[in-house]
Amino acid sequence: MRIALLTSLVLMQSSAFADWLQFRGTDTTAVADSPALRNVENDEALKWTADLKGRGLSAPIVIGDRVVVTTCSGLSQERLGVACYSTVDGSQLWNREMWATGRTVGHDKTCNAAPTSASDGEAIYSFYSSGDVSAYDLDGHLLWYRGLGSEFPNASNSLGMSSSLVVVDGTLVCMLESDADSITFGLATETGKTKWQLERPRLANWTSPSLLNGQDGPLVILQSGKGVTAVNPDDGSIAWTWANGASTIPTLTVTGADTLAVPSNGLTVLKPSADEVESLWNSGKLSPATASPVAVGDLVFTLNRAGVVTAASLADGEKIWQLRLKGSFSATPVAAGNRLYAVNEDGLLQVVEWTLDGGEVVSSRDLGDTVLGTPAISNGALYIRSDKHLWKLAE
Amino acid sequence: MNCRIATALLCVGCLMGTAELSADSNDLAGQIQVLTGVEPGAESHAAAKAAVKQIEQAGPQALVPLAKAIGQGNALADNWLRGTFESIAADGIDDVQSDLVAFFHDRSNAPRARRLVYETLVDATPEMKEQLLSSAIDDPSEEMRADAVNVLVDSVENESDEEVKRKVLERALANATVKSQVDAISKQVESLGGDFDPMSHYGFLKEWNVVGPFDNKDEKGFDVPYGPEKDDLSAPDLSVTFEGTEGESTWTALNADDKTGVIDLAEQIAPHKGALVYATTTFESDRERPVEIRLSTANAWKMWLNGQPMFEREEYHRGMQWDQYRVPATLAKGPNVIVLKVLQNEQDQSWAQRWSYSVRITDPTGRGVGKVAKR
Repeated sequence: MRIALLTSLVLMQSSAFADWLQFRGTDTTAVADSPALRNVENDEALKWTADLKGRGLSAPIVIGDRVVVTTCSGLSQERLGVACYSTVDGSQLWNREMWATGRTVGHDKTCNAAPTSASDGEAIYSFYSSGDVSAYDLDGHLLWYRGLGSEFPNASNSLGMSSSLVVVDGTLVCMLESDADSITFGLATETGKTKWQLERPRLANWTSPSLLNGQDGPLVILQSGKGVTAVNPDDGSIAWTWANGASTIPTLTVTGADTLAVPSNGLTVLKPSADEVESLWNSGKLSPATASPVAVGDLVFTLNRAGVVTAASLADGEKIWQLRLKGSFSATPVAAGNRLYAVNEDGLLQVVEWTLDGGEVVSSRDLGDTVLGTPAISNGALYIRSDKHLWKLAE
Repeated sequence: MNCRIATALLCVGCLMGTAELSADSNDLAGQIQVLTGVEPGAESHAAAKAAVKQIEQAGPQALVPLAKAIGQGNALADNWLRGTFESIAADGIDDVQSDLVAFFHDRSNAPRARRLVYETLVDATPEMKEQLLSSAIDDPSEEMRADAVNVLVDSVENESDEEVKRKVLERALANATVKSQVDAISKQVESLGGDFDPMSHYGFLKEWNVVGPFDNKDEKGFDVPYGPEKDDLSAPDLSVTFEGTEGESTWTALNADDKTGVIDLAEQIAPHKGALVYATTTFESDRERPVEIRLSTANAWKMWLNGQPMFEREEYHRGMQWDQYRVPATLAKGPNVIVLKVLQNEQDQSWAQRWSYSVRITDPTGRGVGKVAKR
């Protein structure tokens, strides 16, 4: 129900359940609608590898038979790329670049092409740490371009920014939240014009917006160090606020029951309603590190600094099982069926299959490259990127 | 047909044809002008979107006019022009390749436009790269120079004559502005007995006068004008004494580190917390000229140039990066007074103790400008 409602608002022309249209998927939950491969170790599992230019942490998005990533290159990461590849054979369909108009500096680990693009099925919207926003049609024709970083030069972060885009109902949500100027924008997808802008807490923020079914339509959920705010995407009006603080790196996830699993004092699950935002439970023992939590069915999964996956009950936060994975993780795991796909920073992809009794790694594959970006799943295939490569794995 | 009438009809036909050609080229120019005129705020986006579609219909004939328009508007407009250029060029450039080559060789065209054209030509015909790069060592485009510097350095990789090698590397170094290139080449030059002065190469400002500390407890000092900020910031009186948080404070001469260009306030004054200082220097320019003032600091700051506020940033301890802030400015001919306000907060983490800055002045293409500043 949740998935159908949200995807109907995001999509225009694409097949509804195969696409992966924004960070953590079309509905921003990191859960695919159909199963994906179990065995990633076979030679046959790797369908193709495409070479990428420069650097990029952004997740791939998939629109029909196109998979898109952003890149940054040049002497100071001022070249902002959008690259489109065929899902069938990995051939490059088109590649476009812009010049950054905002600040391109950042921590060595991140880069200007950290935020993930978003699509409504007709256009591809891309965003960068420098605050530049571009819109191309599916064939690479420029629709519009906006330099939010040059319009608001103090809405920037010397460590870099990474909040991804979300598109819903004709509105593109761009977070430029920092210690100095801190603003979240709702831009009209048709022209890039500002529909609304919100003054936000003056605090560096690397989280991304999420989508939630509200009483009267979809809500965009914004997380910051101060807490969680629900915003009407059409006009930017605030539906509700929960001000008990939250993390500024891993992003909350929306569950199948329309509750929110928020990285706050460990993990806190909220249930918003018309009159209040109720805190259902909190557990200090569930501490997502960089990777965001993922909720599937009755379970919520967190990945901590030690690489331990914890599965807990969404009803009360009780730990059900834990599994230590290899390595450190920046990428958020993605889920399909009863499998989690987690790729560590060394590029080791680990497939965790679970039951309510426990989880185990059923296959793994060394991609041989540093991977910091979250994968995408579409039509049973995994798309994973590093700075230099984009891979497709499928049965 | 009557000859006179036929002639008249022919002339009318010619005029109509001429008028249509003029209308077409005017139309293309007009549509490109729409893109050149894009302003911040997206009010012009609807017209710009329509212009993109019109220009695309002109095909490859629009490429050189589009490239020529880059640099005539603002940076936003440049991206609209670039996006349109790329989508047209993706369908092939054979018809206009020679025109694009001519555009590239004309250094009066905007550096980034020439670079775009260069990349487009090389994408279509990779063999052109060597020829186009052969004369780029002193190119106005920093990217072109960087590529040409690499070619020059590679050319002497196996050179056994050290004198020859050093001279070639010195030529490469003189034209290098990318820090990683400069670091690598200067090391080689120095190993071959040559000299390298990072201060003058990068355009670091070395000699400063600093006064303070003043109060910045609870980060409240950012917008509070203390001492010098209450006086004439275009010409701070270095003989004046101010009352600071540590009693009377006079302007004190400090020099930046010769290798890094950094003024380390915590080291050279004291590691005050919840404090701020003002720092000033004067840069003598031989002419009025556009520059970038490039500042690096992990602290909050404000900058004035000749008494005018240039930029300010209230951010603490998010790292100190090379060319962290690039402030476009126009230097006057003669003395130019720069004043900085540099603020330290009270964070106690070990990584939040830095209180320092460096400032360098470059031309818009990244070359360090002139001699080091005088106090």
